[in-house]
Amino acid sequence: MSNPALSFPPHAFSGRRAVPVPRVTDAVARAAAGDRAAFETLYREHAGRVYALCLRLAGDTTRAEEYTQDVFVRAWQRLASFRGDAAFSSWLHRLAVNVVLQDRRAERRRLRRVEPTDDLGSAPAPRDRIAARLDLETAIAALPDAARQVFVLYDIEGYGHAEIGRLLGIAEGTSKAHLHRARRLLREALER
Amino acid sequence: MSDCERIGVLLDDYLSGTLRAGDRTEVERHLEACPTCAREAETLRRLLADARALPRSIAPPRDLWRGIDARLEEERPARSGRRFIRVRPRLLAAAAVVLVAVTAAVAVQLARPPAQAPLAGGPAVTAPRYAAVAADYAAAVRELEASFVQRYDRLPPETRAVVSRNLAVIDTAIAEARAALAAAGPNPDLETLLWASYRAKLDLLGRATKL
Repeated sequence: MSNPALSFPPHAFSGRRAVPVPRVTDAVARAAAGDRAAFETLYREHAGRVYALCLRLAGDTTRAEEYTQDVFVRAWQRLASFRGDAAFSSWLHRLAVNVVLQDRRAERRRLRRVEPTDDLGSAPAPRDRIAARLDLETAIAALPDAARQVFVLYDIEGYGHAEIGRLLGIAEGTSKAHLHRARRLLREALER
Repeated sequence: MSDCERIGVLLDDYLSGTLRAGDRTEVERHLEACPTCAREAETLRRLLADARALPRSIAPPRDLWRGIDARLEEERPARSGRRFIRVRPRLLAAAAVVLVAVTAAVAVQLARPPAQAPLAGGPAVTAPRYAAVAADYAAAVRELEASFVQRYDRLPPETRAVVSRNLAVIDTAIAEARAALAAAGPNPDLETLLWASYRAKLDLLGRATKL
């Protein structure tokens, strides 16, 4: 099911209400041909949007920086396959979501096998360890991984539950359950 | 299930605008009659409005282009036919243990006479860039270590033990990679290991400071 609560098209990376216009900009075309200066221009234009998305999905500034770099390296590798069917910003947005979620899934698999440290990081912080004044970003970052990812994708980025289910490898109903939990936890955190 | 509990279940879809017409009417009637649920709905509505008003763009705290550019530079041989494999730093303790072992193995290789075949890998970074990247990592580590020290006493003993143990392993990997680089000079494999060790440390410290 799509997410009608948001008035902008999902994945519209260039603005909340902006309609992506399919085009291959000059900078994209030059970067696809191997022009690193043109690619740096694209980085300067889109880094803030990619970083914001990575930060909210990962809930961690160090990782967000690393993911942002990964996204642009991956974009460089795949630019030749970008056909201009969608706006470059939308293509980059989708790439960023995939980079972060794929890595989080892989990390969960690895950590199930080898090391419990991640559980410490992803566990919701106990009440007494959270600063008295939580802002929304802080509260979102403190959400458990799955709840945070669903909240960011649904309530901020405008994805529907069916698509979130596909991205996260979970059932649509599970996505709804995570959203319900995320909203409840945020409400509680912000009411403290 | 009480009326309020049932409305609580429907509230998410109601606020998302995905509730069927019949259920929507039921929710609206209940909210008109029940101040508690109406308050909850209003709080959620404000929360969602605030979430949608969050900035869509946040400038990274530092310029990430230099790191991206360095990786694109490493990519160049790959595009001309050689396969590039990037080491990911997320295995924490397990990865650090592997790093120590691999670093030691590479160091042993480097200790052999020069007649040995060169190690596979792309071109090493130039000395000034190596120093700059190393300084960047060291500065980032120092910053996170300072935050971590402030949180250390507030962590449960078992958490402190896990984090300290992992940090010690990663520090060993960093020290060994640096020592091997000092002995061998520019070497792409050792540099990759050193950056991976630094990233593992940043990753661990970053998470530890959030506990």
